[in-house]
Amino acid sequence: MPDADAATDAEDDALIARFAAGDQAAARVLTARLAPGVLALARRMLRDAAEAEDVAQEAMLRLWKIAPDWQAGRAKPSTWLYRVAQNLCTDRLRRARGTGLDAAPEPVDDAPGALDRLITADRAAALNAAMARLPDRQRLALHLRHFDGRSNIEIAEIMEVSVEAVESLTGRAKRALAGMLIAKREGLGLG
Amino acid sequence: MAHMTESEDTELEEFFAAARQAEPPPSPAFLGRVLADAADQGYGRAAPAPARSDVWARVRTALRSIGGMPGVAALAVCALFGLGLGYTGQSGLDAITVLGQELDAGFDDYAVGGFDTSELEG
Repeated sequence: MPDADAATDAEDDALIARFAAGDQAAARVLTARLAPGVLALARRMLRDAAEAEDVAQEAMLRLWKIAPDWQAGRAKPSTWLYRVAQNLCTDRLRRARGTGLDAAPEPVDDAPGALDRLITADRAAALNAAMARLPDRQRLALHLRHFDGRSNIEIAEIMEVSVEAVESLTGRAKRALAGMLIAKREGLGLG
Repeated sequence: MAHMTESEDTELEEFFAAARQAEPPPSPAFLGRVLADAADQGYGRAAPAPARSDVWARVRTALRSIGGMPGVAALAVCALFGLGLGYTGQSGLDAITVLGQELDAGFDDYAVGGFDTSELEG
């Protein structure tokens, strides 16, 4: 729905302008519209609720700070915000790996347990655990596509890659998930 | 790797739908922090009028720049001297004016006495 998207972006632009003029009600609307998505993205990338809240708060703070200089129509507010959040997540992941706090390539600890929960049809937990085992960029692309409902074009803008690269990332991610979830499900006799 | 089948795609979508439903909403505490950050920016807030103590601080700074109280005293003496000079200067100016008139009269006498106008007459 490009028209609806354009209208939403224009509304966000107008809200940013109102906020910059001192309208706190505009800040509340922007927070309600944008913060949940940014937080969900950060949760997906960092797999740590407190760290995710820090990143989402920081991303929103950058929006508040840039508001007086925001140029309507140049960048989509949500795309700009998600790019900021993505960069903040990448920095934190790099730092964590650099200091050896997250030296293991993927958090596999909770995966077997979560996959076993398929027996009780806890698909959400199984999917989250399986997604946590994906490489960062595949996880991000898949999150934006299937949890945030972004188009491949928007994902390409946020991730600063080509649309073809997005298609490749999501394709590989979904095949990996299918391998982890569906095959396991059949192995558990639930297929 | 082989492409996914349609049934695999459908099944995977069921996992996504379940995970979307299970997504926890942002906590009120988190939303409160975000809004507090927004309020902290202070956009649209009028700049506060300078406090009385600020005015006096500015006066003290200005006085200090001219040498403090000795400087102020010197300035006051100069101002009084200037006023006095103004009054006394008025009488001095009158004397100069009178002297000027006398000189002017003397010049007229000289001019009349110096020329013999009868020589010009035919």
